[in-house]
Amino acid sequence: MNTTNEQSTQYKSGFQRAIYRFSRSPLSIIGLVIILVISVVAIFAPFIAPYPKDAISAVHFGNSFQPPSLAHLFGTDEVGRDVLSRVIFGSRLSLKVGLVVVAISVLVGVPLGLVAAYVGGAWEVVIMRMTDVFLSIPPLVLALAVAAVFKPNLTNSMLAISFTWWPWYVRLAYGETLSIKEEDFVEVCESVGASKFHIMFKEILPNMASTLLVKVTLDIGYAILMGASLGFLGVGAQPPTPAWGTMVSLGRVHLSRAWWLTTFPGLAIFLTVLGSNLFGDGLRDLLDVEMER
Amino acid sequence: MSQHILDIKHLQVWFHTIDGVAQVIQDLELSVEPHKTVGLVGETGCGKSVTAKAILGSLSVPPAEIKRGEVIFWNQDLLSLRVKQRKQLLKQSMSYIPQDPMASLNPVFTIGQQMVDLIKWHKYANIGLGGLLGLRGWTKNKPARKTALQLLDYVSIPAPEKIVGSYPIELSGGMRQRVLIAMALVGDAQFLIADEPTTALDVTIQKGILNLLEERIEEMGIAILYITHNLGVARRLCDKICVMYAGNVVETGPTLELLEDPVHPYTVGLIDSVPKLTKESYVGIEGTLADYLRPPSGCRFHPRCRYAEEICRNTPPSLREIGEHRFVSCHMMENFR
Amino acid sequence: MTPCENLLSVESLYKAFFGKKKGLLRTRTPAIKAVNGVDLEVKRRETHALVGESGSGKTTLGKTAIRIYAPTGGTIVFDGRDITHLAGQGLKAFRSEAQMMFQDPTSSLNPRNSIFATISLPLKIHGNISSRQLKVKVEELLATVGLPRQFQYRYPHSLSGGQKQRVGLARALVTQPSLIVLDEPTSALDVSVQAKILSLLADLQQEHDLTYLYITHDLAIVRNIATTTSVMYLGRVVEQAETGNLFSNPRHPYTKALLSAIPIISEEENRHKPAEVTLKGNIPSPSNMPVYCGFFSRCQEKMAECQQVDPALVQVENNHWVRCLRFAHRREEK
Repeated sequence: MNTTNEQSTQYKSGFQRAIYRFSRSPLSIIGLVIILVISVVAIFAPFIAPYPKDAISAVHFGNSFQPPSLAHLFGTDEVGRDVLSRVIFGSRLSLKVGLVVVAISVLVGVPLGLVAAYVGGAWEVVIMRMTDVFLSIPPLVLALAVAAVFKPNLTNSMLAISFTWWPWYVRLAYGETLSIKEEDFVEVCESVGASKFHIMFKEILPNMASTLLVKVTLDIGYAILMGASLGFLGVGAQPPTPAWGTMVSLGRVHLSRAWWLTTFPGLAIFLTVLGSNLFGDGLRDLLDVEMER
Repeated sequence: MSQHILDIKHLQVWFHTIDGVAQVIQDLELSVEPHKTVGLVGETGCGKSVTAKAILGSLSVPPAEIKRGEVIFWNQDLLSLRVKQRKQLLKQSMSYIPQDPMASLNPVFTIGQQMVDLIKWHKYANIGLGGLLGLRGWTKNKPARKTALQLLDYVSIPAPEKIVGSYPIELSGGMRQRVLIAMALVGDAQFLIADEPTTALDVTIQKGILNLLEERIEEMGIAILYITHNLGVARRLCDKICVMYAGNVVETGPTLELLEDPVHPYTVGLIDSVPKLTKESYVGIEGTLADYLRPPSGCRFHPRCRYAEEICRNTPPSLREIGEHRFVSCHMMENFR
Repeated sequence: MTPCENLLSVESLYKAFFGKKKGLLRTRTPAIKAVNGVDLEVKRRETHALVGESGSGKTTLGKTAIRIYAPTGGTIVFDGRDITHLAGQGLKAFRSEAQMMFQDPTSSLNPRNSIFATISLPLKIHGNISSRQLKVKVEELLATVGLPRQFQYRYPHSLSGGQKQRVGLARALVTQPSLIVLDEPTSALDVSVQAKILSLLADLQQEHDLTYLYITHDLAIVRNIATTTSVMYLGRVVEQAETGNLFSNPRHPYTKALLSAIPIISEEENRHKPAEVTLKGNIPSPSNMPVYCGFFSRCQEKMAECQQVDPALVQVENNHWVRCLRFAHRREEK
C-alpha cells in the first residue's frame, strides 16, 4: 500500500499563523502590550514603586497635596503618600479582582453549562432556571447588600461580583456545547463507549476553549471595572488600601485643587480595561478567521 | 479562432497565501463552441472553480493574481477589458448556475422576490432610487412576474404560482436547483457556466434535473461549460469533455470517444477508479494531488505516472492535437495516433 | 440456517424520533419514524449493503442496529445475544464488538485531538493497557490502514480527506470488532481516493474476518462489493436480494428507478441497467406517512389496490424479498 509521501513543504502551524495575523493588527498589539505592562507592574510592584511604604500606611503630613513633580510623578495625596506608588500597588488589587472573579466564574459556570447542555433532562431545567435567577440579580445592588450585612472589603466585594458573574459562563458553555455535541466525533465517542464525563471535559470542552479564552480576556477588564466601581461606591476595599476605585472616590472631593488624586487612578482603570478590550477583540477576530478556515 | 464562443489560452493564476505562493493554474487551455456543452471534469483541488471564477471575473485579485493568459469571449479578451466593460458584456451574454442552492438563495426572501429582483436588474440599467428603496415587491411588477412564472414553468416546476410565494427553505433540494437554473436563464445568455449543479442531490432527483437540462439545452441552443467531478453525469450531457488535473487541462475530446478510449494516464486512472456495473476491478491512482506551493517540475502528473521519463520531469507538456478534436497534454502520449 | 450464521439480525425494528413538547398547550411536534419496521439479517463475513436516498432511514438503521441509538421497538440479536435492551456496563462491553465508520472525514475527528489520541481512545476505555502497549497498537493500526507512523503526532486539519477516513477506519478497528457499520465512507472523497479506500476495506475484511454493513446511495459501489443488498425507502426495506440477483432482476419499482438513475460511463454498463424509469411526484413527509404503500406517490407501476393496502415483505424467489402488491400473491410473508 502506497503511503502518502511526506511533503517537504512545511505548512506554518496554526500557532504561527495566529501570530502572523495578530501582528497585522496594531490595536491588538497595543492591547497586548498594555496588559503585559500592567502584569509586570503588578508582579514587581515592590521593586518598581519609588515609595513602597506609601502604598500601605505611611503618612507624611508635611508633604500632602504636592502636584506631580520629578520626585512624585503622580503627586501626593491628602496624607502625603506618593500617588504613583499607590497606583502601582493598586494594580495588584485590581488584577486580583479581575482574575479571581473570572476564575470563579469559569470554574463554576462552565461545568454547569456543559452538564446542562449535554446531559439535558432535569439537570438542564434546574441549572438553566437557576442561572436565570442569578442573572436577574443586579451586581451593584447585591454588592451593596453584602456590604451592609458583612464588612465592606475587597474580598467581600470580589465574592459579590463573582456571585453575579458566573451565570454568563453557564450561558456561554451551554450554547457552545449544544452546537459542538452535534458534531460526528461526539457520536463517535459515544459509540466507542466513552463516559459522559470524558466526552464533556475531554472532547467538548477543548473545542470551546477559544471562545472561552476570548470571553475571559474581555471579562478580566470588565471585572476590574466592576471592582473599581464598587470601590468607588465605598463598598469595596476600604482606605488606606490603595485600590484604584477607592482612590478615585476619595480624590473626588479634592478634584478642584488636587486633580491628580482622582485622575491617575482613573487613567489606570481606563487603560487596563482598554487593554483588555483591545486584546480580547484582537483575539476574537483572530480565532474567527481560524474557524472560518 | 472566431468559431469559439469561449477560448481560454495559456491561463496562469497564482494565489498569494501565508504559506507561500500557490501556483494553482499553470497553463490552461480550453474552448467552447457555440451551442455545445463542454464538460470540465476533475477532482477536488484541480482548479475547476478557480477557472470558472476567472471566466466570470469573480476572483478576488489579491490574493489571486492572473499572471498571464487570455480569456476570449465572443472575440474579446475579458482579462484586458476594464471592470465596467467586462461586467456589461457578461451581463448580456453569460450566466451561472451555482453549486449549492441553499447557499446561493437568500433565505429571507421568497423565490418570487428574488427572481423579480434579478429580472429587473437585467432589464433596467439603473435601478434608481425606487429600486434602492426596496421596491422588490412582488405585486408591483406585472411583466417581471410574468417572466418569472414562465421561467419556472420552463424548468418544469409544478405549480409555479405556489413556488413564487415560498421561501427557499420550504422547497426540496431538487426544486431549489431548478429555481437556480431558472434564475440563470433570465436575460437570454448565450453561454452558461454550471458549477456541479447536481452534486448535492439524490440520484433519482439528479436524473430528473439531468433530463430537464438535456431537453432545454437542446431547445435553447445555449453553450455550456459544465463543471463536475462525476464522469457519468458528464457522459450524459456533454458533447466534449476536458479533463483537468492540477491546474491544467490534460486531455480533451468528444465525450464517448474519450470515455471509451482515454489517452492521458490520468484520464485512464480516473476512469479505472470508478466502480462500474460491469464489475470490472477498480484501482486508485497512486500518490496524492500536487502541492501547489511546490508543484512538481515539468509535467505535474509525473510523480504519479508509470510512464514518466526524463522529459516529463523537466518540461511541462502542452495540449497537442492527436486526432480529430482530440488533444492531450503528455510527452509520452502525444504521438499516440 | 443455524442460529449463529447471522452475526446480526434485527426483527421488526422501529426507531422513531419524537418531537419536543412545544407551546402552552404542550403539543408535541409529530414523531418522525426513521426506521419503520425492518427485518434484516447480516451473515458472518458478508458485506451487506443498505441502499437508499436521503430520508430512507438507512443511516438510522445502521446506528440503531449497533445500539448507538436505542430502538423504540423490535429486537436486535448480535452473535446470538439479545442486545435490544442492553445498558450500562453490558452496553459498554458490547461497544468493542461492533464499530462504526462515519461519512464526513472532517467532523468525525475531534480537531483538538491528535491522531494518536483519537485512535487510542477506544483502547483506553475498554481495557487496562500500558502506554507503551498503546503506542505499539496505534502504530500497528496506522500501518494497517496505510499511514506512516509519524501521523500519530499530527492533527486532523493537516490531513487530506482520504487520510482522515483512514484514521476513522483505524479507530473503528482498534477494538477488533467483528462487525463494522460503514456509513457512506467514501461519498465525501474523490473517485481516485475512493478506489483506494474500497480496496483497503476489501483487504481488511479478508485479513481480519470482518463483517460489513455498508450504507450508501451509490449503486455502482454496491454492485462491486456487496454480497447482499437491501433497498430502503421511507424507513422500510422494499427489496432485498443477493446483489447480482438484485441488479439483474430487480422487482420493486423503486429499485428499478434507482438502477435506471445511475450515471454510467461506458456503453457496456448500459446493458446492465434496466429500462428507463423517471420518477415523478413528491416524497411523503416523514412525519405524515401514508397508511398505504409509501412509494405510491411516485410509483410508475401502481395499481388501484396500492392505495388501500400496505404491502408486506414477500419472498419472490430464493433469497429475494420484495415489498410490493404486484408480488403479494407469491409465497408467505417474512
